[in-house]
Amino acid sequence: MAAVALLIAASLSAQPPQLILGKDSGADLEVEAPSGAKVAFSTSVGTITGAQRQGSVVRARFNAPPLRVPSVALVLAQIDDGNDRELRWLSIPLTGSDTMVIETRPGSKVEAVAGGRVLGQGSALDDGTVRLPMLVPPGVRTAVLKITDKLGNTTEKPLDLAPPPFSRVRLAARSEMAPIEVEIFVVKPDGTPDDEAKVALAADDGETSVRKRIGPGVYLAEHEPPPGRAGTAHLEAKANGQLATLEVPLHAAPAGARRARGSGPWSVSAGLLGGLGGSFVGATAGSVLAEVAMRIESYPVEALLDLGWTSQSEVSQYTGVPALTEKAKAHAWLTQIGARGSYEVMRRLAVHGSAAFGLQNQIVRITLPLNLGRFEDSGLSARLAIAAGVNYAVGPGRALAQVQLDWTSKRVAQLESSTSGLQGMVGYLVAIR
Amino acid sequence: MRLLEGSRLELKQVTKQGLRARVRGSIESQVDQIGRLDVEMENSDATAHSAGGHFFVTADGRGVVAVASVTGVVNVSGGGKSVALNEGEVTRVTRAEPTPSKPVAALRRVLLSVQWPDQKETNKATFPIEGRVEPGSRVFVQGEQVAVEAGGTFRAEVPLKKGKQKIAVVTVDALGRRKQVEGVVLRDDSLPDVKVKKRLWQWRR
Repeated sequence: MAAVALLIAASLSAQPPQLILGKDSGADLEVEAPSGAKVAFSTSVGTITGAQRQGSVVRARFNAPPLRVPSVALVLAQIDDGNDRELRWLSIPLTGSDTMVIETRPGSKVEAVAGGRVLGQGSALDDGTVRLPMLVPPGVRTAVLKITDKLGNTTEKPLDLAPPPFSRVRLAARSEMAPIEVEIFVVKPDGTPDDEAKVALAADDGETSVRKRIGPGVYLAEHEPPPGRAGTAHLEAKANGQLATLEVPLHAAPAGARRARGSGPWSVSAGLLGGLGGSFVGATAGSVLAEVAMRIESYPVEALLDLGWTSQSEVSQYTGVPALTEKAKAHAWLTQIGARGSYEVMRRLAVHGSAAFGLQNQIVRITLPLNLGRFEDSGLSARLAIAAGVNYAVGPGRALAQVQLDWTSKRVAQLESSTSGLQGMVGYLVAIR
Repeated sequence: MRLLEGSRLELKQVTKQGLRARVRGSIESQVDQIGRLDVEMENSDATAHSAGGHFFVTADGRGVVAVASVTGVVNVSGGGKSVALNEGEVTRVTRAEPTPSKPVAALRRVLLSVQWPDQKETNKATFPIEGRVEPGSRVFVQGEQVAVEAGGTFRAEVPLKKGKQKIAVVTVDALGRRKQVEGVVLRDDSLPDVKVKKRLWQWRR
């Protein structure tokens, strides 16, 4: 939950979240960025001024455009921290305002309604003129004029609001080294992020692909220029019939620079996880796992291979006759394979669930009662591990936190019970390809 | 006898000396000194008898009867009681009061008060009016007789044709005197048209 809170705080926000043109002058923008990181704001309409850092928060002012036609401002905060670049997107719906003039029967009341929402209303003067102040949110193209004369006669006429078109697609480069990662931000006509857009990326040459949606209305695409290509890459993003272009200067990758995370059709990550918890018979248990995970990028599931060690504190067994109670302490070397499914709930943060099964070589040291001595036994046991948790992309990989349920067989290697139990685990997996 | 508009007379007995008749509506009667006239009223047991004189009988067919004498004496009986009506006097009989009321002098003027709605323009097919006349009077709206309550009140839903029109309300009182009131009403149920004179965002061009 702390990671979620951190992520929410780190997102780009505007207050107020939407504006009425002609009434609201602008909105206050806020984004969290690491100290030392450079933050650059830009917008598709309007202007952004007065960016100021206050600790880890950067604030700026979005100034509404002078034209009062309905539109949506696609705002980008580009955060450059060394070689890392983060893009944070925000849409600000801008409600248009204007006065239309109509002529009808004197004394009539006139209302313009769209989708049950009154956009404007007024009354006809003695000469039949009605001045109708209208507020038209983005995405509203038509309305119905309801005219009720003073005798109660009512008529309805369709009204084409004819809002001018505005851009609903923007793109920006996440890197300027090949392969170029591009984020494409798409909103619906009303300004809400479009999670079901049909997005395509095109370039003059080289290869392009749209890989996945990585946030509300944000799609990750990639452009691989031809080898040796220098100069500028001209990119075109198409979404829902709209076009946006971007020119990206191509830079050679510095020696040792990290290749973009997860590029290519598949990726591999590896790392360590440690756990602490308890067995179901009351022993304290801990474990260490070395994990290799492989993922085919188009699927939200990765295959796992774990090698590890688990141990639990001493437990009493055969306690029916206290004088004959044994003490048993177990540890085990284990290997298991499994699968982990992830679902990205917001940028960088995903929830996951996993299941793995394998074998463990369980080594049990028994302390006999009545000072009869100690001995050790070992045996193979099947094991099953089920886990659920969250992972957060940070640095060259991702941090994981999960709760894991282990199940193993009873009565293996003189251990009357089993090492089954529940552990909380944390770890980190580095993207190595 | 003179039968007034919208009235019906049924002769029951005719002799050389006199006449017996039943009436609904209004009649004006002139009886010679040598004659005799008995007038019964529809839906009432009241009877007016004159042996010479000029008088009016009005019966609305719903038990409200008014008898007024212009000249001579008229004897009005009903409910076991009889009153003598002298020149210029009026008596009434109703269902609630089946005996003739104490004769009173007729009003000098014909009473007709019509309450028109504030709004004389409407998009409805009918127009409500209400008013008051002297009890025993008859009321006609656009030529159609409307019911008058015992207290003299009346109300009507006047059918309207499209456009501007005159509504005439006429009353005939117990003495046969008429009074007419007119009002002008407009029925307009056409739908208002609309014309956009300035569209949105025009200043852009």
